[in-house]
Amino acid sequence: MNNIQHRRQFLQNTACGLGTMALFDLLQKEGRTAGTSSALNPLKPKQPHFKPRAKNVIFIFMSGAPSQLDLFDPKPELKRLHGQPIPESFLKTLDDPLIKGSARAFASPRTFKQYGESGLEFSDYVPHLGSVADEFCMVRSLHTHVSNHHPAQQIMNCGVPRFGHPSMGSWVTYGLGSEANNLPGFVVLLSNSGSGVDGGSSLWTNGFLPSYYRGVTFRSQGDPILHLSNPDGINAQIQRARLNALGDLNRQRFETTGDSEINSRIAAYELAFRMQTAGPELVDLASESKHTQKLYGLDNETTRPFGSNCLLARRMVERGVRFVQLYHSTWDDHSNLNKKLKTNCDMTDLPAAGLIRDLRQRGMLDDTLVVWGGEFGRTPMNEVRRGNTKGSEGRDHHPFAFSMLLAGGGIKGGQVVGKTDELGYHVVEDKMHVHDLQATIMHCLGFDHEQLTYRHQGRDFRLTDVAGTVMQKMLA
Amino acid sequence: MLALSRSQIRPSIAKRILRIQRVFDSANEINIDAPLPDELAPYLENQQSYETKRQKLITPIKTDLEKLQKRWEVKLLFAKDNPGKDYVWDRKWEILGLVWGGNLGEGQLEGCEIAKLPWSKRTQLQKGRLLDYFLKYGSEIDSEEFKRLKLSDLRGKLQKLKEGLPKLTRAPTMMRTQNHRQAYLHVRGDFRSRGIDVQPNTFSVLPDLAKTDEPRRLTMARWLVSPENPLSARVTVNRIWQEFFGSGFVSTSEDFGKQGAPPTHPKLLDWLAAEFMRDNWSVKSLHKLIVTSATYRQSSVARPKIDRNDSNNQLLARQTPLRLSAEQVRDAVLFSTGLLYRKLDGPSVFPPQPDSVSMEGFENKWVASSGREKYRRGLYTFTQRTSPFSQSVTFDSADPSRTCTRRERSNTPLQALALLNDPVFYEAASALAKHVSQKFPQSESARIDAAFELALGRLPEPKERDRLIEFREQQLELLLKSSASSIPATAAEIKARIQAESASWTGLCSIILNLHEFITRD
Repeated sequence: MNNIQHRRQFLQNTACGLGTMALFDLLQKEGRTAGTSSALNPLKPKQPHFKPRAKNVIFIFMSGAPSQLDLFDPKPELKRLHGQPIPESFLKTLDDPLIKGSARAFASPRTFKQYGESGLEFSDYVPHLGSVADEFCMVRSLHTHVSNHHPAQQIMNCGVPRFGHPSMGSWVTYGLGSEANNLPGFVVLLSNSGSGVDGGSSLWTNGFLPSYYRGVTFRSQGDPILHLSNPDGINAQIQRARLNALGDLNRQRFETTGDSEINSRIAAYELAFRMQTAGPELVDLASESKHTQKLYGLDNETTRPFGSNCLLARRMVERGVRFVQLYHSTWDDHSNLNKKLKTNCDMTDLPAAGLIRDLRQRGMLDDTLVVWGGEFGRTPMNEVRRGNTKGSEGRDHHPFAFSMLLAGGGIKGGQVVGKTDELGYHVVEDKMHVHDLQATIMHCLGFDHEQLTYRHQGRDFRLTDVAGTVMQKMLA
Repeated sequence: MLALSRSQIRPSIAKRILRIQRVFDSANEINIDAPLPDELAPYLENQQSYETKRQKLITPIKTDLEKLQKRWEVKLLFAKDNPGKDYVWDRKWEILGLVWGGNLGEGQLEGCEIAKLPWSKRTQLQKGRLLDYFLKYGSEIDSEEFKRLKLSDLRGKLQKLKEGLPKLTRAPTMMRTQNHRQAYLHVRGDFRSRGIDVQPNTFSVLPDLAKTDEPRRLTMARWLVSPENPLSARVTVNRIWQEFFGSGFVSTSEDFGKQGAPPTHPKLLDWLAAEFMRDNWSVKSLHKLIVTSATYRQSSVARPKIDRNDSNNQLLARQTPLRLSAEQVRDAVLFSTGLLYRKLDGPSVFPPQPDSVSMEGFENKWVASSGREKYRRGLYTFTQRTSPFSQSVTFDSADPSRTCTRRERSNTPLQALALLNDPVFYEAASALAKHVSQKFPQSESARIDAAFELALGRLPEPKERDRLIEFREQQLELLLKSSASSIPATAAEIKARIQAESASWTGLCSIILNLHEFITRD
């Protein structure tokens, strides 16, 4: 290992994931598997229950809940009712004390246009998403059962509205393992327009699953992986010498004690050293062509943060990362909806569409499932809690109906699934709970969501809790 | 509503939980007046006239006010008894509990408890408190009437009057509930359809609670440690054993039930549990008993012949080497390098970590502690559930959002990166280097021996010492090469040489702190 290998070659030759597990491969190559415990490679690629349509997932989670009524689900009827109280018939079924009966209808100031052959409607804030309309299955009939951010994010990411359950990415890597060489199987990328994600790392936790299934945050600031760069004054050659001495001393100890964990430890250090090269290579976006950089909006300051994450997501999937979870926060527009929604759309619209287009042209979209959406929707009424004045209107949390976009990986594009009533208040057709969405995503990955379970504290747990039905209409 | 109907909890389990809940639900957290020595006299002096003035303000509208407040209370109590009928008032009942603590510095349920009492049974103080709350939050009962009686004016005046009354310090305490509280088993998990009112007790497979008229927390405490209940001692002993041997007799230390693993040494477990109880539940004695045993004191060196038949060392034919826990890794590094600040108690501390960690959560702030505070023991590190301390996460600390009876001991490249490159650990290596260099300015091998012994509690073998000497020489050479010429001539070059010397010792100490042996209890 004293020779400095070419970066690419590093990537191809170092056959390991981030946890203990993939060390197995490394040890095998170095003929040291004898004496190491057999459970060394929990991230080894595994077969799902049936033939999968998707191999990887890029989940673009729009934290804070983007307004479906101003992006994907136009409601002309609200124009007629604008400024008036919501008709009694809607309030009768209203069982959320947070939404006041005195709320007034708030028509979307947006204009909508049909896009593509499918004629899917997108608002003027997201024309780029519109430009890839035919790839999307637009679901307008989602609902959830909690109306505040953290619990709702928890249920969307982890299947229950409480702390401590494994994230979808953890479940998927638990079920499928990972084909990534020297990268984790489940990676998290963050961007924001001010504040972080409400749920924080509780949204990408391994919960009760073993810790190698935890989402590993790739950081946009400083080291992409924590402590990836050497202390000041230590170059690669010096670091190599450190590793050599450590390896020798650890091996001497092994000769005395015979503790097989020492071999794993040596291998973990070797992998860490290789990651120090592979990590920077992965995040080196300058190696992409000008055209690609432009596609993701890297040439523009507004789109660059989210665009970099989208491009990183593609590069990770190329390198076998199973589940890439993007978070962009926050879409929680209680007031000043017009301005704030535009800010987030300006940051994300072009790169998200660029990702879809890039995956398609590289032939990766067929086995990569892309999901776009937040934890719930927003009310058809103007927010009254904060007494918003004219011009600074916003919308409150709305768990009863919201929209999401899905593309690729076994999903039938160019179609709308589900329908809401004339105000967008309730779902009237193809009602889909978050658990149904999760069941459908798992189906695309080749899982019967009821069978992918983990025994913990005396019972079998699964992502979809005790519910979930696959929405057949969404499938290609 | 939906959340509950989707509940994962079966009625039989819900019933078991409610039985226990009823026991705990027999007391409220409240605050009581706890005047400091010089507070009481001025208070009593003013209290009489305060009360008179207060009544004087209320009296003119007393009848109408009481009528209105009673209407409000009827609505609240109806909501309490008929959840799901009126969401607005359901929420008001809930808020009565929530707001009380925040605004009045009282136990959260005090407002609810007063509202449940008949008027005749309320003390003057209780009446006053609930009236103050009503004046602030009760207008939705009849806003016209509120205006007519000018109640917001009254509230302002009462508030002002109260500000003139000397304050008494208050103290939190527990009080038995005055109202018998129910715990309904909800039909199909829907909070609107009440089933049976579950009575306080423990699980049916366990011994009954002592028969008292109303079992409460004290009853539960006595039951937990009664000789008829062997479970508490067994579970405790098992968890302590697990810390010393890596696994308990019952490997599923969180589950002693039918779905847990059976014990590997049932008789020993029972004997230790009995000893533990006999010894007055002394954890210290139990520790001593375990660590002085022949089993504990065995070497952890692998025994290939035996290991082949007992790969997980369940039968304890030798000791098991264990990687230190997250907090122990940190403490060990700080202790052996002389950085550890052994202050006890006090608020949590914030050791430095990259900004990108706390930025993961919603508006989390992590302002690094300064001075020696950042060298406190790991257990003093602040726990932020939405972005836990990264060093702890890397070394398998418990998810702070779940109960945890046993931790993982993973072995990952992230741990290697932290030990090699985390500035905190590298700084510790530099402190150790400085310490041994000052102590042994002349002898290279004396320095190495001292650093080795401080970190690992033993002297290096000759082979190990030789390798470390070789390493240091090589480091020095590489460091000099990367900085300047190796033949010092100018002052700057001499300075570079001195820096490289010191960096090479830091590098050597960092190697020692990265050894598998350093983070392992053999």
